Amino acid sequence: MLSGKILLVEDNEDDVLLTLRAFKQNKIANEVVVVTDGLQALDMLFGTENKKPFKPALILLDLKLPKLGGLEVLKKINENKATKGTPVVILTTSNEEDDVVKSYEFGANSYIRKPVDFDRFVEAVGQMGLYWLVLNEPMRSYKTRT
Amino acid sequence: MFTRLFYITLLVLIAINCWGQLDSKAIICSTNQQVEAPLTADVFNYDEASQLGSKIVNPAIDENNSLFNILDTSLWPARWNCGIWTPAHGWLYISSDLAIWLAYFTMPFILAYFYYRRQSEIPFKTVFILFIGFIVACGLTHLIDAIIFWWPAYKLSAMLRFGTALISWTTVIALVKVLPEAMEFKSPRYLQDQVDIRTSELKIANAKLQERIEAEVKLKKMNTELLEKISKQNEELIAKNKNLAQLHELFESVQSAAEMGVWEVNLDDNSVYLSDVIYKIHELEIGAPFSLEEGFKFYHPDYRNIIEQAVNKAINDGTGWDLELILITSSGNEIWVRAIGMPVVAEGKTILLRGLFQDITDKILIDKKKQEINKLLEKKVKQRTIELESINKELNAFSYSVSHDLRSPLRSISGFSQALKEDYFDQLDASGKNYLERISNAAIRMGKLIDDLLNLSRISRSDVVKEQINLTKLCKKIINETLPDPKYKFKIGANLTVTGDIKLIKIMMENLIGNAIKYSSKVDQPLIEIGEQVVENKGETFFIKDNGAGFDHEYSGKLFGAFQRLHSAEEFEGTGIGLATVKRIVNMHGGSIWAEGSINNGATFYFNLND
Repeated sequence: MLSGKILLVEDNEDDVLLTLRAFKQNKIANEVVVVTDGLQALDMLFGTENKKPFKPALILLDLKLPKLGGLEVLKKINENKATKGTPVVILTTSNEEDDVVKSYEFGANSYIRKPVDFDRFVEAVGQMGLYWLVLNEPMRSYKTRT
Repeated sequence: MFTRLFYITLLVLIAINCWGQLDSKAIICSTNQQVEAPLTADVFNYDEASQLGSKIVNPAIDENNSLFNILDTSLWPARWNCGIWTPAHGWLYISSDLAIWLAYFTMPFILAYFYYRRQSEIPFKTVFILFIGFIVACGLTHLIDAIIFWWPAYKLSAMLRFGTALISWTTVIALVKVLPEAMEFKSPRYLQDQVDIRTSELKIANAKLQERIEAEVKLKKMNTELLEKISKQNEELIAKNKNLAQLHELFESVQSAAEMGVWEVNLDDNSVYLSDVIYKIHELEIGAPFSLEEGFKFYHPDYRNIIEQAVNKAINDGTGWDLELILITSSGNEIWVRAIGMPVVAEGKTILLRGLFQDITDKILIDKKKQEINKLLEKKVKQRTIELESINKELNAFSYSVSHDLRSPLRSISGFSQALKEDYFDQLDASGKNYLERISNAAIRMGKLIDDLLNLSRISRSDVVKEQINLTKLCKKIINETLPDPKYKFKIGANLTVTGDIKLIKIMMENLIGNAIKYSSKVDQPLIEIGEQVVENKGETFFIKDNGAGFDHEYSGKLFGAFQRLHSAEEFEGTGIGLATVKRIVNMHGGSIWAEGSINNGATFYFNLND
C-alpha cells in the first residue's frame, strides 16, 4: 500500500502546502494528487470522456469546498460502487457536531480536525498515514479490481 | 215524716180538745141539772137565774154579774160540792185534767223548741204559732177545770174558754187559708223519690261533668302541648325564615355580584318571575310587566330567531339551552348576554322554564380583546421566531465560518512560522527564532480562544435534557481522564447526585476541576475537595475547593464573565471562557454559582442546580 496514491481534496493552498509538508515530515512518500474543489474530485474519481477514473489508495477530503461541498462528494463516492471501498478521511478545520455526524453517516472512514498547532497537525497526519496506508487492510474486491 | 206526724198529732189534739170542751159542757150541764134540787141559799146558779129571767134583785148577784170580774167565785160552789162526786170519779177527773194540762203545756214547749231550732224550715209559721197558742189555751181550760173542783172560778174559765175558742177559730181560719198552699206540699217519700231521681240525675250529670272536666283537662293539656309545639314550630319557622331571608339576601347579592339573574316562566298561565338583576340588565324598572313574548323582542333581530327556536325546542323536546346573544335594552343599548334555560317537565309535559341570565358584555369585549391580543402576540411570536430562526441560522453560519475560516489562517501562521523556523534555522538569529516562536504561540492561543468561544456558543444552543447524575463518579472519571500530576490530592464526597444534562454537567465539571488543578499547580501539596453542604437560603449546595492561588475577592464579580481574567496569561494560561461556560451551564439548569476566596488562600466555588 505504500505505493498507493493519495487524493487530497483541498481548496486552501496554505493547507495543501502544510499537509504535504506534514506528509514529508512523516516520511510518507506516496504520490499525492491535489484537487481544489468537489467537482474536480468527482471527475477525477469517476473519470471523464477523456480521462480514466483515478483510483487512489486514500482520499483526504476537506468539507468546505467551492462548487461541490465535501459532504456531497463523500455521498457520491459512497453511492458509486467503484469508489465505495476507497477509504475516505475527512481532514477539515471544523469540528461542528453536525459535520462529524453527517460525515460518518455518508460513509467517511475517519474524521480528523486539523489542529492550529502545526506540530500537532504533523503528528495527526503521521498517525493517519500510518494507519490508513500501512496498517489498514483494504477491501479484497477493491484490490483485485485495481 | 216528722212533719206528717206533727200534723196528725195536731189534728188529734184538736179533736180531743173539741171533745174535751163538749165533755166539760156536758158536765156543767149535768151539774146544772143536778144542782136544781140541792140548791141552797148560798149557792146560786147564774144560768138558771138568767134563764128564768128572774127579777130578783140580789145586790150580790148584781155585783157579781159582771163578766169581767173574772176571779169572782161567789156564784158557784166548788165542783166537789156540785153534784155527788165519788173520790174516785172526782180524782180521775181532776188527775186526767191535770194530766191533759201538763201534756198540753209540755207540747207547746216542745213545739216552741222545735220552732226555735227549726224556725227557718218551718212552713206556715203563723199557723204553727197559733197552734202553740191553741194548745196552751186548751191546756189552761183543763187546768181551770181541775182547779174548779176547789175554786169555782167559772168566770175565769169562761173567759179562758172564750179565748180558747177565739184562738181555735183563728187557727181554723188560718188553716183554711193555708190549706191550698199546704196541699202543694209534697210527701217526704215523693220528695225522697224526687231527691233520688234528682240525685241520680245529678250523679249522671256529675259523671258527665267529671268526664267533661277530665276531657277539658286533657284538652287543656293537649292545648298547652299544641301551643308549645306551635311556638316551637313558630320559633323554628322564624329561624328558618331568618335563614331564608339571609339566603335570599345572599342569593340576591351573589346575583348582583355575578351580574347574573334567575328567571322562571310558568307555561300554564304565562306568568313570569324575573330577579332584580334581569330587570336591570334589560334596563327596565324592577317589577315592570314582562312576558315571554315581550322578552323575545328585546333580542337583536339577528339573534331573536335563535332564542325563539331554543325556547320552542325546550317546550317541545325538553332540552335546555345556553346561548350568548345580543340584547337591545329598553334604552337601546346593545349588550351581550348569556341566556341559560332549562325546562321543568312533569308527566312528559314542559310546565315551567327557568334559568339564568347574565350580562357578559364586558367578558365578550375582554375575550375579543384577548383574542385580538393573542392573535397579535401569535403573529409577533411567529415573526420573532422567524427572526430568531434566521438569527440562529446566521449564528450557525457564523460559528461554522469561524471554526473554518478563522482557524485556517491561524494554522497557516502557525504552520509557516514553524516551517520558517525549521527550514531557515541557520539563517535566523536567536531573537528571530524567538519572534517566530511568539507568532506561532499567538496563533495557537487564538485557535484555543476560538475553540472555547465556539464551545460556549454551542453550549448555549444545546437543549437541556435532565437526568439523574452520579456526580462523584463523574468527577472521578474527569480526574482520571485529566491525568494530573501525582502531587494532587482529591477528596470527593460519596454519593453526590445531581439532576442535569450529562453532557453539559460534564463540561461544567471539567472546567471547574481543570480550573482547580490549574490554579493550585504552584502549591506544593495541592488539595482539591468536592462535596456537598447546606448553605443558608440556598439549601443543598455543591462545592469545589482548592488550596491554590485564590483570587482577589474584590474582583469576584468578574470571575464568571467571558474573556475576564484575574490572572495574567504568564501566571496561569487561559482564555477566560471556562467559568463563563460554567455559569452559562448553571444558568441553563436554573441554578446559581458563586465563589469565595482570597489571594493565595485558595478558592471555593459553590453551585446548585435547580433540580
